[in-house]
Amino acid sequence: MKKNIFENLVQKNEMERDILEEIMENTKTNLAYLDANFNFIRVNSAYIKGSGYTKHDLIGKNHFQLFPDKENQKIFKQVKRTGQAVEFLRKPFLFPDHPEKGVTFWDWTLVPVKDNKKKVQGFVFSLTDVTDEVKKDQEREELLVQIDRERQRVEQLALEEEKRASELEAVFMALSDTLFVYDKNGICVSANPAALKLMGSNPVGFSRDQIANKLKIHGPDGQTFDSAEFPSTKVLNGENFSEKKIVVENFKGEVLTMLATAAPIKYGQKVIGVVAMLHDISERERLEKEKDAFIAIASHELKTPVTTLKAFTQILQTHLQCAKNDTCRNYLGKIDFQISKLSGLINEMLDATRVEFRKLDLKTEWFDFDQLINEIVSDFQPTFPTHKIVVQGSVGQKIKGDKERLSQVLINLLLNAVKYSPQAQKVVININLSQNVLQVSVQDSGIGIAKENQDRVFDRFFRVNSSDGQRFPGLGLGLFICSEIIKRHQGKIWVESKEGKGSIFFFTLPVKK
Amino acid sequence: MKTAKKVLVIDDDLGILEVIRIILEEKGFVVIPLSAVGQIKQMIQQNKPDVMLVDLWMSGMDGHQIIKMLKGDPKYKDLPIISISALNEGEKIAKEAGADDFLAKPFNIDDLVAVIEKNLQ
Repeated sequence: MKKNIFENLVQKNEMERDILEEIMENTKTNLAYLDANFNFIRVNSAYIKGSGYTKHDLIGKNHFQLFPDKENQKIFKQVKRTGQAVEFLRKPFLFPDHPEKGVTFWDWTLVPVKDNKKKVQGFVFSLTDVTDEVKKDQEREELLVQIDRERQRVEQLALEEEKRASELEAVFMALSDTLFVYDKNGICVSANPAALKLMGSNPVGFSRDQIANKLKIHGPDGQTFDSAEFPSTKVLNGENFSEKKIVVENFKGEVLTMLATAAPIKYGQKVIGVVAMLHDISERERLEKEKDAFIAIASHELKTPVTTLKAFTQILQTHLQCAKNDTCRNYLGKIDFQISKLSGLINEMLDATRVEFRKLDLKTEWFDFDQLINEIVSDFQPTFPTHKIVVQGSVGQKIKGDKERLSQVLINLLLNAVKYSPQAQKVVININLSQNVLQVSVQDSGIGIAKENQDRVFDRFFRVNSSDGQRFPGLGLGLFICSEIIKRHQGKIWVESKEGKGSIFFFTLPVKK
Repeated sequence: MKTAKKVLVIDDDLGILEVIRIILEEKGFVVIPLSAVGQIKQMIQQNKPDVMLVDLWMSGMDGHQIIKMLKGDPKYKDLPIISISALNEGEKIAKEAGADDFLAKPFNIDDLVAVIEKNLQ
């Protein structure tokens, strides 16, 4: 019977030990049993895996030899001294032989095992690797910090947006130009004080057609136009910007010329509205008209007495011819020549004024350029017998341009060539058509132009004097006008010159087949 | 004997008016000078000119308005009108108003006579 009880007890102990072995081997927790001097007695598989050593490396070795962590050593010794178990959560640990692993985190307990005299015989050391958990928590924390930072950024943006909106609002309010904001259906949703001042009432809520009617919008020449032609309509239909000169009547009945412009309000790619602006250009228009009137008056007033003078001179000339008074006739011829010169100067001055006021208009037509050259040369040659005018090359086709104005350019270049080459006997006109560009040059072998002055010869009032200080007559407007005429023909004009050797003036004209 | 052709000249500048009168009378024309444009239709009815010379720009009434008025009236539309002007844009304005011809100021005597004779044919 006793034997059976003993056997039973032995069996029971063996079974419990097996169960404990089984639990120890299969748990995810790293378990180690250390003796009272902290030498490894037993370790489970999880511990071996987590330690980075083999079982052979561990068993019999001192814990502090393998893991020389001073703080842990202190804790272990404290447990041995006090007999009290310790527990730590998420304690960081750096494997001395595996620094590449980085900091790891562990939940661990060290429980002293005591004999019946309460003396510490050993320790159960259990560890759970919580590195992943800790890292996840850290990541979550970082994410929270990032979210908070983003929230602050959005708040900052909102503030800036508010500031910008406030700035725009101030511009909107302070602008002297009239501003209407329309929604996509063309209903006015906002208008600035200038708009209210123009309309005499608040246009908000009204359609573009209603506002156009109230302002009696029409074209500069009195023509009415359909709302399809309004810049705001064009913008609502997809154009990015549109402008048009219009005439409106304000609420006081004053007629104003205005430049209407419009730009879209977009939300993403979608046009959700339009800003229409009216800029008062009445004053500018009035000044333009004044400029026109000035040219006309100056032209009329200066030319009228010249006309009378010229006509009387010619009458006298015919009378004196009859009387066979050669001396008087000769003098009258001189008067007539001077009147023609005066008339030429008046024209030059008026042309320069037109250029200044951007009022030099061209009358373009198709004409025979070669024939024009012939006419000019045959008119010119008898007046200047000192210089032989030589023409090289030809165009061989009609060109489009203002015949009168282009002949003015040619005559001017010929006059300059003769004027600035008093010692020479020849002026060469070269004509060359290549790749739809007509190039004409007029070459003299006169005093030439100093390099520093070559760019300035086309400036208004610029005049070339010879190096010996000899003055040449003229207003200094001829080349200025020529340059403008050529530019208006989409051509180029320039000079190549060497002081003392002469100058070549070139101009080009685009030619269509 | 050939009857002298009558030229009605309208210009507010007395110098021009006089010189044109002298030139044309020497060439055998009868000149009716007119410096004010008030009674123009009446003047035409009374004098029955063969051709008219009208300055485009005068104080009181613009030449192009006179041309327009006459060319728009069936009674006068066949009367040749030559416009004279010192304006560079004068030719364009005159042609638009309906003038038959244009002469720029300042002009040569020969050109003046030639343009009148051309429009009398």
